[in-house]
Amino acid sequence: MEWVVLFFLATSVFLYCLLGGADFGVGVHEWLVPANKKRRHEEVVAYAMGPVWEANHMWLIIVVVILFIAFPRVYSQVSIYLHIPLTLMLIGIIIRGCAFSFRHYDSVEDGSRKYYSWAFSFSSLLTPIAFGVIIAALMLGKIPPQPTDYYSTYVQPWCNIFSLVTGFFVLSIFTFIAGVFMVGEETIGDLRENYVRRTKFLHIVMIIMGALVFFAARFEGFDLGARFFSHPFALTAMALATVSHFLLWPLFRVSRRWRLRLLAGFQLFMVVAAWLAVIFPDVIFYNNGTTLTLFEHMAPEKTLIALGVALIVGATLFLPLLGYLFFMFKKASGNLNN
Amino acid sequence: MTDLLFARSQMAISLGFHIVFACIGMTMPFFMAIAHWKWLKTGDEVYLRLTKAWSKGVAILFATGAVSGTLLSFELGLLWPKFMEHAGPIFGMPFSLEGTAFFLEAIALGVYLYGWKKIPQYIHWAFGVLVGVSGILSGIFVVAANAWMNSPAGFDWVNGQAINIDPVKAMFNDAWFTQALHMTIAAFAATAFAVAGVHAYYLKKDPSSSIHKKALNIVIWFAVIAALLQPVSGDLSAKDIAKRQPAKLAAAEALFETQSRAPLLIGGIPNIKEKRVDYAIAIPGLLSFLAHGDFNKEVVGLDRIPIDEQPPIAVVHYAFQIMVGIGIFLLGIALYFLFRKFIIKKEPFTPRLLKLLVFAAPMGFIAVEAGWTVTEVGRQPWILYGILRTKDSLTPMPGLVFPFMLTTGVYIFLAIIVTWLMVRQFKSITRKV
Repeated sequence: MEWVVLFFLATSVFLYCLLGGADFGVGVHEWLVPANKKRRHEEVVAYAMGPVWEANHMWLIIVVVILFIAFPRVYSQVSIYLHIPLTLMLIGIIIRGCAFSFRHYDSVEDGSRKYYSWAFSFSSLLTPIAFGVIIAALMLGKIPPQPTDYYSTYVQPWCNIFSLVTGFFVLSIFTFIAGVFMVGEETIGDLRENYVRRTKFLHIVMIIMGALVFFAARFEGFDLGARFFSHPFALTAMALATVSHFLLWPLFRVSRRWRLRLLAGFQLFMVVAAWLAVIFPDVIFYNNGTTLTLFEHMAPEKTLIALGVALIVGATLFLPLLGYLFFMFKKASGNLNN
Repeated sequence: MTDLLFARSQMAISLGFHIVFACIGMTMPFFMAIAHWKWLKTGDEVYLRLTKAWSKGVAILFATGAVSGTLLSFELGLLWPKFMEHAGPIFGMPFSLEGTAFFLEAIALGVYLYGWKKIPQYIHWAFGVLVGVSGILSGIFVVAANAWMNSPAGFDWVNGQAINIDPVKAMFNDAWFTQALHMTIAAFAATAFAVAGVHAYYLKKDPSSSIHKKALNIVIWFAVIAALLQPVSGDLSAKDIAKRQPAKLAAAEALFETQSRAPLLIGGIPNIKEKRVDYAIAIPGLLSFLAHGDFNKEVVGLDRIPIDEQPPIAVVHYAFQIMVGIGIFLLGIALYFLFRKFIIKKEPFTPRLLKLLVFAAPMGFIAVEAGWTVTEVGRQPWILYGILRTKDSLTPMPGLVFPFMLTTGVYIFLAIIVTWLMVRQFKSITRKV
């Protein structure tokens, strides 16, 4: 049963990166859209994201719930050592979730819109960076197996070049994914041109950031490259993702928007899969060379069965409805531009 | 203050904030669905406007509830990692079901809010009902998890480790039903009285307003029925607590001495040093009756509880008094309404009732907060009753004052903005009338 649970865990992580990531990304785009197109951008975002806004963030809840039920040691250790970046990530989640719906549902339109937008776009930076910092800190191997002094236990493991660069790498991925999504939503006009240009630019930024992550790891004395290249699956996945980058640009046409989305989704999938494959089954790498694996102190079989059944039953309930939400709306209303 | 106290305060503020939005998310969709149903049946535009106004409120409050709930699922680990390490596999089942129910609620709300004129109208309406149903379910699941902390079940505790874990038994622990029932009714009462209070305020200002009148006519029934049912469910809870958590009941009643024919105290200031309650009105035997159904039965007092296993008495006592007092006050309003409506058969919404409803608007939520204070503070010093102490499950990270201040700041700020948004929302309905 643990494989069922792990499947749901990995799927939820990927879907959160994809859907939640696109959500975060549209907030980052608010910094980048020219002032005269900002209002239009907000409309496109509200139209495209509004219905699925809450649902996109549920994947994170699923991840957390699976962690503390099935892998409680992992959950508690991550919570202890990465308390600070987790808190920052959560503050970001709270502020942007509220700001987005306040902006959308406030019945009076006045100067307050400016503040909602500011809070929304600022927290859209904070959460992805903190998310990347957390992922990097788990791999880097600076976490002590037992708490020692404050700095080396609660700050140093995540406050370093590798973690920060990874934070910005995650930010660039999310922003790129959002760009791909927006390009498909806005099919005509100046803003579309603007999206296309920026998404291509973000594509390059993302690739550069990806390379920088490996250099930053080196800088911290961590041979990330060796870990990726010695793992056959991760190597294949990375190679496929890299090759597919060359196929991306010709797809920036309205008629090919679904192929563009699929390809970008595929790239993200490969990156997430490679990352998970490299670390699996370890989650935390301690500074004494030991690791905490998912299977250590795993919940007993009875709990895993209950959880697995709950996930399967739950998924059969909510997936069809989620599909309905995603696709019927697009079909019923056509495109925003018609 | 110690790190422990900061962590407990942070948890209290996070829960206290979330519970308001959780209550609204559980119950307000039903108000909205009834207004929607009336619009479908009568074609009266006013109902449509009311439905849309309420659904906007639900959207704002649900978003706030969703993110504060997300924070809580992390805070359990950030603040109480040692508890979660033991408890996760045992009481995780209701959480996984809650996750599903919450997911359904989010999807249904998305379909509902954006489905106007896009999907068949009765399917659209059904999604509105689904928002409420899944909201209630997720509330029940979360409360079942909390009930397990009050009434641990489904495992054996051997040498500081949980073995023979049975998550189904843990979920259906002895306290889940009474707690879930009490909370669900409380959610209806608190939300319905709050919404009724707001509409009563505007109706008082403009007695000819049909939208506020129609709104009141819908929510008042939720308020009245919940207020009538809540004392019954409270009685079930009291009897259950008397059996399972005598320390909590003794603290709530500030019963220092174990006694038969134990009196029910109304008001009063517990004098912890002298072990008595000053200035209280005592009704002899009533506590024995409420706890055990017999005026002469013995009720366990604090003298039977070791001092290091006693909860903070004053806080629990005051909170309990506030909760019960408000419950009786709301019951009084409900009875007054029923009296006018059915006994003397006159217009129930007199200026006096409207005034009372305005006054009662925050009361239900105050009672909810007080009730949770009784549950949570009354369980102290245990995080898992009788098994694991709160202080032993605290994170080793020092300096918890900083996350406490940060989260408190964010919550105060959000509370102000949400209140301000709601005021704007209500003002705008009135303006359109």
